[in-house]
Amino acid sequence: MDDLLGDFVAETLESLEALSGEVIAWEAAPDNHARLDAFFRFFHTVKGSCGFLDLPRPERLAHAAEDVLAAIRFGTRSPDPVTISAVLAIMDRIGEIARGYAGDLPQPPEGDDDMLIAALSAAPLVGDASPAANYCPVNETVGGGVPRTVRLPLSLIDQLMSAVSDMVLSRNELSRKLRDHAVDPAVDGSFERLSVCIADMRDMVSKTRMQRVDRLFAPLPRMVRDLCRDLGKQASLILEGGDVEMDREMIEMVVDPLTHIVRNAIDHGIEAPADRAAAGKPDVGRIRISAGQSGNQIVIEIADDGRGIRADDLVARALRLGLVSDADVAGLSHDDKLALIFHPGLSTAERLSAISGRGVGMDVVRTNVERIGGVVTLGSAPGRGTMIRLRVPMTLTIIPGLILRSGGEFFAMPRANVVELLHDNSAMVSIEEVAGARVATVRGHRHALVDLEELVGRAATPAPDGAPRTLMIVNPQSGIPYALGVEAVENHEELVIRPASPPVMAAGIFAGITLPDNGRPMLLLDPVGIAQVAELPQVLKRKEAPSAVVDEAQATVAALHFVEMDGEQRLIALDTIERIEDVPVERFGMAEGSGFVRLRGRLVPVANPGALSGTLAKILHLRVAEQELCYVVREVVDIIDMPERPDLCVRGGTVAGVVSLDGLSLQVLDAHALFATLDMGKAGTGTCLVSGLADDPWMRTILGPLLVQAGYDVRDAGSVDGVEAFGPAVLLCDSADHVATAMLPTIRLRMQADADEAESRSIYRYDRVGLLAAIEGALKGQCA
Amino acid sequence: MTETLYLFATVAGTAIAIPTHELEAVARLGEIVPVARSAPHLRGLAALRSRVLTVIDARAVVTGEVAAMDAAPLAIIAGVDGHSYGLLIDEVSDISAAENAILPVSGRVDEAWRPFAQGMVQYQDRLHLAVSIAAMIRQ
Repeated sequence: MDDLLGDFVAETLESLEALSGEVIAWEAAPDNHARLDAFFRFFHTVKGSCGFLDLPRPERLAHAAEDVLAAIRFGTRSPDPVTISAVLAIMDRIGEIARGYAGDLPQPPEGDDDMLIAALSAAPLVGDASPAANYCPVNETVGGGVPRTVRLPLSLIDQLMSAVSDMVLSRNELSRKLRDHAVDPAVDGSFERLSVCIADMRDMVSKTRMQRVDRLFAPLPRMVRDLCRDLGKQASLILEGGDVEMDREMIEMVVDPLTHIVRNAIDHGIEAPADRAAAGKPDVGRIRISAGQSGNQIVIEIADDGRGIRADDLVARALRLGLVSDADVAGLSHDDKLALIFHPGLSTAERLSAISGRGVGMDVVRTNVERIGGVVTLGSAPGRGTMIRLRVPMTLTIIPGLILRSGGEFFAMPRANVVELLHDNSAMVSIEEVAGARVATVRGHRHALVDLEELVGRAATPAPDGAPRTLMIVNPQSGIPYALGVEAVENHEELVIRPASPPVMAAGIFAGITLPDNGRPMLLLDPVGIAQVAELPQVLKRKEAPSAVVDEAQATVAALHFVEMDGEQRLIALDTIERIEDVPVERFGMAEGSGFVRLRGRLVPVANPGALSGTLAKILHLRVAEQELCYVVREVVDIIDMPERPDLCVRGGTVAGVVSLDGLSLQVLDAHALFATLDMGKAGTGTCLVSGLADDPWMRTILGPLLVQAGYDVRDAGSVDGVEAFGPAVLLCDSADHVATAMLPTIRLRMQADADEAESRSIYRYDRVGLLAAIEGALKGQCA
Repeated sequence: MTETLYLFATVAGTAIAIPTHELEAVARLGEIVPVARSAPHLRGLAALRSRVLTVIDARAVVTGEVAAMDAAPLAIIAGVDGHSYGLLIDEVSDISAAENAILPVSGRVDEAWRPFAQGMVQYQDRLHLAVSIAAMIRQ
């Protein structure tokens, strides 16, 4: 094949690809002259090129189509669906012939050409103008001319990329040498310009690998239209996020799975118009395909509003085909049942159709997507539709990464797997060690802690002047998050990742290698591998456990699962907790059996004072309305959902009931009772006039403070002339005094615990409860 | 001329011959970054321009002992299964065609060499053990 013919083939196929997305938009809006012109130009170019290259066959086809389009431009023909179909058929044929020249495909039989041309002219001049498919481009851009492109072998781009990498490294080396030798500033200036050029060039070369998802979407409108036509269905296609970019190789890999899913959606998902009407849905089905970037992943969702997938049908079919056994099926959740669709050999359609029954099942879709490191998930509601979500990495080669230092060596960690970075001396972190297992608790979440130095067999180099180590909370895509201890996180960079050789991969904790600008190779850590090598627990969290049967009718409330100082595991409603804090032990104090802790300059009562060990104590700071208290715990385990009504109700003490979770019986702490046990009676309102406050030491130093603490205003009765000024007030006096103030209720205090006859109306001066109750009673009487 | 060219070199005192189509170059390596949790003969990673080489110590593969390395160790650069490797050797003497066709292995080759021995090659009046570096790297 000579060069000119090769160029013709490449250019024609390129134009066809670009136009295919426009076809349906043109059909939907036939008056759009810009689009019509684009098609006209295509046929005109093909005709011209073919004349030049002496290719009579495509020339004849292009000529016929050009004539029809010219007639439409002049308004002597209408762009009815039949005509458009005929024009499209010609486009397809030209594409087939071009591929035939390239040797990709056998040439289609020549005799059919006449039929296609006849179809073109046989089309009625005025047709029924109801398009079978509606195409609603969301980001409508009318092609104002197809941008000129060239085709390059991918290997050339790869070579270019590696050449540019070499250039960057040479630049860095030169830069180091220039720094070492003081050079002429003019040389520095030239070098700076060179550096900028090289950086630009690297960016551009990186971009040659990226392409808009539009390219992935381009063939879909046409496919949907043709399928709908063949199957007598109606569907509108909504495409979103075409401007998202991903690696061209990834696009190539996603084309087939996506095509297959859309075919399935129309063939098996969208119902015939009559069925849709019977089901109370609009006649025209809807398929929505959206692409979006999420971290370094591209998420493509394909949703239809068709009949959905009945999970039980899948199960029945899988059983009939012997793919699963009855025992397997028992205990499958709805999602597990739906996931059977990915089982090799299972096809949901009762009959194989020409459209999607081609032996390519969802299992192949999944295999293809997983091969490139992606994930497929499927959700479906019978009668309402199906949604399939593909998550694929944006690129295989460039990822954002964190550069970290550990044991004097540098490593990279994919940014997408890092949830959080913390210093190990942060107040939010507490690190404990139990039987060799190290656990870092961050804001109440417990994470297994592993030091990277331990895994890479290096001694942790002590940081200068006791700088804190960094904890990385790492979330492997599958499995549970853990904390990785490293010396420091140095930098955040876009890394070009290359596959590591098998002997390096054998270490089990590396995912690839990268060569940063300093020219020193660096290993990329594998978050999943680390968890496996470190033998971290891989069990799923309770709430994610697949077998957990959740009775949805049962209301639940979020609760904090914690361990008491005595080791008992308990729950408390999360809402009551304002914060969880680590407080130095010396801030705790005791007074007469009542504990308190100094928090931010205030004293807060401690509900369960007791012996504390270590230097820090973990407290739950509870606050409801204006009342607050602290509850000392040994450890916070997790936040879980507990049933609103405990499985066993207990009354008494500070326990409200018992909840059974995961085979553990957990007592639920009764926050109400906690607050009730504290003597925190709402600040008393009223005045206590104390007789002899000024000169009786007992009155002044013992009784006075008690009353103040209870919230009352305390005055010396002798200094008061009138009582009207105070509102509610009560007079307290020694039982021996005979103060007569008829206007005020009077409480007499006696010295002895036993009352003799004369003092029967008095209260023992150390009967705290009786005294406070009497005061409250007396004041309440006045308020009423 | 279809006769095979060999690189004649010494590894752990043994004279070896490596067919040149198996290798790309011989170079002195710069800094080698160690790889944790790997076999002892995997010395680490080294950069050769923009390529990253996995450095395997041929002497350690054979002797099982890891010796100290020169500042700029000599390595045979080869691509195996799509990855680039540097195979550390003692010294390189020549690249040349063999004086006669490859001979079958005769005598009892040391067990350490047996997995890689392809035959024997006569050069400058000495027998050299013909070795497959791909086998050495894959082992």
